[in-house]
Amino acid sequence: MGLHAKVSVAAIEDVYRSRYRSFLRLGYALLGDADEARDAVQETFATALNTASSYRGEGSIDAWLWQMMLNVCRQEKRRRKRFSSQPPPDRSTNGHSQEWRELRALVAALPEQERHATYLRYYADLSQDEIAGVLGVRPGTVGAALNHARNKLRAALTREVTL
Amino acid sequence: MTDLLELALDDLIPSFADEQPDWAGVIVRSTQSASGLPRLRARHTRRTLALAFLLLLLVGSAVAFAGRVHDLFFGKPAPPIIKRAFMQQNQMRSQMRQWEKAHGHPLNSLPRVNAGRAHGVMAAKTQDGLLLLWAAPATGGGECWFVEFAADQLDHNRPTGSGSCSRAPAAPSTVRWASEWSAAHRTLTVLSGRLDTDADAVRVRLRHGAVRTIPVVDRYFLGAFAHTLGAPVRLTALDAKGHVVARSSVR
Repeated sequence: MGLHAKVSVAAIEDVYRSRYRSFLRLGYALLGDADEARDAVQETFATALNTASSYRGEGSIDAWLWQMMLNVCRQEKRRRKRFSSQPPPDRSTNGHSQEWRELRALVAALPEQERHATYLRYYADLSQDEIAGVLGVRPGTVGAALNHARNKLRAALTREVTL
Repeated sequence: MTDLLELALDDLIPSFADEQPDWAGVIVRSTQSASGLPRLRARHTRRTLALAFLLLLLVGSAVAFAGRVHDLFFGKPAPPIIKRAFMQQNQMRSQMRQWEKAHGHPLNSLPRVNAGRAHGVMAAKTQDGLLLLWAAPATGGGECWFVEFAADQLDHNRPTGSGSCSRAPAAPSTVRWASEWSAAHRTLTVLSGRLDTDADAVRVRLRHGAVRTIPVVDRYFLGAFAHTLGAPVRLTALDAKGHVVARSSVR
């Protein structure tokens, strides 16, 4: 399985076990469905085991795995578009709050870089530098993206709380 | 960032506080990916003339049982494509053994299955067509089974479904089961399993409170429920008099 590279199975397993729920939350944020999020996490780590030799040690193992998770979710979204006859996930059945409708819509409408930076900051609890490593941009760019996102979301939040 | 915004963002996403990681599942999935074996989850559906023939054989009985599980094909030898599915479980077992040796990680390897003796056990009628459960004996007194939607039977000329195995018989109160969801059948949760004691039915409590009862055939049970009802959280096996003979629950 090509596991003789710079990343060990034990290291991948360690990230899986310690950050499992954070990966699930990111998957849910990106896909909007708990089962698809679970599937995406399993797929991410199975892919990691099979492509460990592609890890060049240029960033942290965590960043490499978060990148892989983003790619798996992107692929799943593309697959959904191809099979568009399938109904979208019913978010009302996933047991979480149905409030914050405007906020939810605004998050979904953020440009991809801002949205991913927000998800990685608040659902994966990554630092600005770590997010930069995942997204392959400079930390300053992440800072700007997070600021833009916060300003838009704060405005929506104010409106919802005021209503 | 205001605390309120952080809380609101947090509220958009479930906490998954009760979720447990499944590393063994990752390992199995990686061996499937590496070998080109079919994934546990169905991704595509392809209907063929051969499938249409199979449905003609089975649908008549399903209608006769008014949508209830039936055992029309109990004991019928499995077709080659299903035997291949069981043989692939043996391949997977070999790969897991190799993986264990290479990495020193003990895995809960599958027992070796006698694919030549694979046979039909039971079928359930669902909104996505018939759901079939095939079984075959395994080493050490265990059993392996394979669950598939009949309509998925020929997907790129290989079986598409999910398999599981039990090892040597355990305590009679044991219930071995798995529930599964796939993108190809996204409105359904599939439940399958095996008991180590005789029973007539299994009562299934689903996460959002609904209760369903499904029959037992040769100690196997099989059912499909609306995904919106939530995953199974408690299973209770009952004998003919309604006495509890085994039970299992998850948090």
